[in-house]
Amino acid sequence: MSEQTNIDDKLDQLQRAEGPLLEVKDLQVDFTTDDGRAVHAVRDSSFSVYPGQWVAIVGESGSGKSTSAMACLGLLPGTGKVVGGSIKLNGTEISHYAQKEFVNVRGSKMGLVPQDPMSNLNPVWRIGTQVKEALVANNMDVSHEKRSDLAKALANADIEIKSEGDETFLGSKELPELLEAAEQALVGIGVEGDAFTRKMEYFRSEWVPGSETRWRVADDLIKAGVKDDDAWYIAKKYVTGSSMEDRIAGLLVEAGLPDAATRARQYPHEFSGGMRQRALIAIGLACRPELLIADEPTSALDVTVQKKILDHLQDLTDSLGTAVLFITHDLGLAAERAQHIVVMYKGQVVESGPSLEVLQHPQHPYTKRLVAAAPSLASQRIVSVEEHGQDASSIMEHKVNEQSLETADTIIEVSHLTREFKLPRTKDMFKAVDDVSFKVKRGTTLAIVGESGSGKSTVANMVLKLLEPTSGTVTYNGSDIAQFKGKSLLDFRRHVQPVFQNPYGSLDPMYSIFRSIEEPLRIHKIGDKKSRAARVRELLDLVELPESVMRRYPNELSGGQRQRIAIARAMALNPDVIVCDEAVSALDVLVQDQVLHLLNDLQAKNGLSYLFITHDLAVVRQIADDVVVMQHGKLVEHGTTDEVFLHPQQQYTRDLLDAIPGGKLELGLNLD
Amino acid sequence: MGKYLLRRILQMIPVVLGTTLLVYALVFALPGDPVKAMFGDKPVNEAVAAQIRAEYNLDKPFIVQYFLFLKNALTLNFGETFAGQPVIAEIGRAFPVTIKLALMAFCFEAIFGCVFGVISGLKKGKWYDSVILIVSLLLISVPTFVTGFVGQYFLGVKWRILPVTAGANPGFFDLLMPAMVLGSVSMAYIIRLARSEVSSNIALDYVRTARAKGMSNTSVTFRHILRNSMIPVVTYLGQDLGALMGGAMITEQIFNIHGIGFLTYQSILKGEANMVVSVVTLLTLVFVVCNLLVDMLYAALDPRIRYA
Repeated sequence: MSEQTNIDDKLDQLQRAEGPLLEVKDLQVDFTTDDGRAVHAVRDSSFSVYPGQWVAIVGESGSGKSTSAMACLGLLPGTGKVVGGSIKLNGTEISHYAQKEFVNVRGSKMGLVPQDPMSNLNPVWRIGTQVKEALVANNMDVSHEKRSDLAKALANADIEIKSEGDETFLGSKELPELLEAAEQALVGIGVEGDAFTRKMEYFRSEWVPGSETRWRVADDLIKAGVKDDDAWYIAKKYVTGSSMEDRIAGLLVEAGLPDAATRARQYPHEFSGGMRQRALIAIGLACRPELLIADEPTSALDVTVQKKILDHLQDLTDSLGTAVLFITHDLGLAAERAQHIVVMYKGQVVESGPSLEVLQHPQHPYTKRLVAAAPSLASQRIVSVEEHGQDASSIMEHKVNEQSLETADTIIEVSHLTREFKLPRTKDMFKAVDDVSFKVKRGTTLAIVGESGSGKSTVANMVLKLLEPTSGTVTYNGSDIAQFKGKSLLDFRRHVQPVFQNPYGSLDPMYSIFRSIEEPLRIHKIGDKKSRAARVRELLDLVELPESVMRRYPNELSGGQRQRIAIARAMALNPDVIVCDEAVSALDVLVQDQVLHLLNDLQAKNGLSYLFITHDLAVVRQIADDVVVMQHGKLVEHGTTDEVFLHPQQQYTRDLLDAIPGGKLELGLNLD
Repeated sequence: MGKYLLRRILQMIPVVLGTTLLVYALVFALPGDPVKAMFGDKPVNEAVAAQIRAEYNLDKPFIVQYFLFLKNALTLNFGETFAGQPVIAEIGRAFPVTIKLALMAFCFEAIFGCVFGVISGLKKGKWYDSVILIVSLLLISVPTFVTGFVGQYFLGVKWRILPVTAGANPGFFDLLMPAMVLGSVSMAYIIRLARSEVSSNIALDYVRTARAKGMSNTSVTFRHILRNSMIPVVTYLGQDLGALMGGAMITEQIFNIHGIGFLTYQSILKGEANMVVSVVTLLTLVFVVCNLLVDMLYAALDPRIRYA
């Protein structure tokens, strides 16, 4: 611990001595619309990043947080232009740079880890080639490590780095010989048996060609007991520099990609989202920039993957001494990762300060709302209130209704549900859902939680009878839905309604809002023209939207408004059950909070039952009575929300809970 | 890959059979009697006519004629024209001319189409983008024979830069103007295709990522924007090569080029079923092979596409 404080102090001193790495002052960015008007995307924003520091910019979509970061890189999209203020990198003004000048600082001084791993790698080039481009573009020396001054100053190693040669990378050609020499050295000093195997295993895992340097090899050998001189002799003899291929693989290994030498020859479409993001991190850090701009680097990934990647990125940037400008919409995540938070709202910085300070004593009304709405923080708050032995129900939006969980009748029962899909090009069957059983009680909410690919949406589709199960049954009010045909099916459809993830895709863009909401009424031949119009008005009122919305079209509405429309449409037929498939995942925290409130109110008023599919445990805490955790198509845990959150039985559930951003924060209770 | 190739080659059989049958039926259904036409203004000698009909199997029912043709075609005997020339020899004379013309047109449209399209796409909104757009629109909307006559008038008659017509055994310069006229419409399409591809790719995320790596504008443009934009362009070009090989009836007529298009047109007028069907069979094969090549090329260009 004291060592850590030592480093922190040292870091503080260094930061103060060197001044900010990136200093943005009164930045103004304008976009020009088609009719020539200027839209002020960023107004008078100021923030600084010191060497080695993580600074988070937090805000909702459209707040100007990404725009500010892209302005620093000179990569503003479309008509974007810096019209005022200054951006200083290491004291040099760069805001007026021409693109040619930016080329010199990009990659080498400032790296980027972009938001969406799916679209940020060129599909036609191999992963390794795309890493290589970064190295080649900046004339990187691939046989020697480039360490920032800060990292050098902080390196608390027992060995002082004497010369440039000590930073030489290990090459894959010499690796077998090095291992052999290490083996002999160990034998020479009398290490044998288990200890020998363990040490060699350690060497094999640590000595990654293109990533491990000479002094670290020597250091490892010395720590294993080899004499200083012998260790340095071996290191100097066998660690003689790596090739381009070694370095590429080394970078990918550093970013957490296993089996990197093979992976480097693959194409992006052969990678999962998490793997692509690791490749992008390798690219961003390839030229050892002093500043890494991470633009929502994990928002497209599953929570557990997100945690792994961020942990890795943090270790990596710490060891390299890289400063990170971290852009996120999740305040909990920001507070967990960054030392300093900058809150942006409508193009302006409304608040900035040390992370905990901002979280515990938010000053600006917007920050206060953000703190109140962030699901990760909300669930954290419930836990910390309960840990202090107080009644958490007052701060919970949704109270678990234990009584009705016990006494209410079952409305949906899923038993031994299995669904198989045929794998392409083989005869194998893939079990997307494997023997899943649960019950949804009337008037309660059951949440199915799991990562992408866990089979949770497949379950939802089978409950909606949009997909036939391979085996097992779904019953609605006691009758098997597989038997429903014609009139009874229509009746079932009327009572079980879906709300889908993407509010942009689930509304027909050619239909007016009125027509979208009225359609289910028309299909089920309910009422006449006049009474249907009245019902649409009533529904809009229910979801707290003005009547004037009726005549508009989906593209004129925001994401949150569209999701309200989708809910209104689902409510039109007075259903008993609403299946929400990731219904709030695509929304900003504040909007998400509003929609969750709405769903809660509707349940209280109309006695609705929800089947709530989500990957976000934080949201579950706020809305669900019962939780089902799924992994690889199987049900791994099932219990009430409190049981699952307070006493998780399975390791997987614990991992999921751990992965909720902000989970490790000490919030304190002064959060009113 | 091998399996896929074999399947594609087997698929060609029904395609070729189907087209030959269809074309044979169409020529058979043409009004007028080819044998009577051979007599011209002279009175028809029924005995001679019957003899000719028997010789060319014209007295047999349609389906029998078709199978006789197929049987001969399998032994590479495509029969003779009414004038007594072997069909294969006529095609052998015409096809090299068409190949020459098609390749020239192809190079013309590929080079100019890509260059103008890419410039236009990279510099969207500049004045030369507008000029290129307007010219390409003009070329698409004006029929080939108009472009042909305009070319003949200015380049051939008024300024005397290029020969007006090609004639028999045309050389490079004889075919230059026809090739440009023939390729002009496709060139215009390629300009538009390349322009829209480039201008939409330029704003893609991976292009921004490439810039963020510190790559120079030139290498970003070549490695990320152009490389990806060329995939659909190459696909279009490949298919167009098949179409160009089919000979250009109108262009060959205008410039008096004795290629496949010219030959086909003359044969249709004379009702020479053997000749027409033979040419069409050949062209179907060329077209199907070109299509297969395009699909192979597509897989080579885009690693996401793998055939199995």
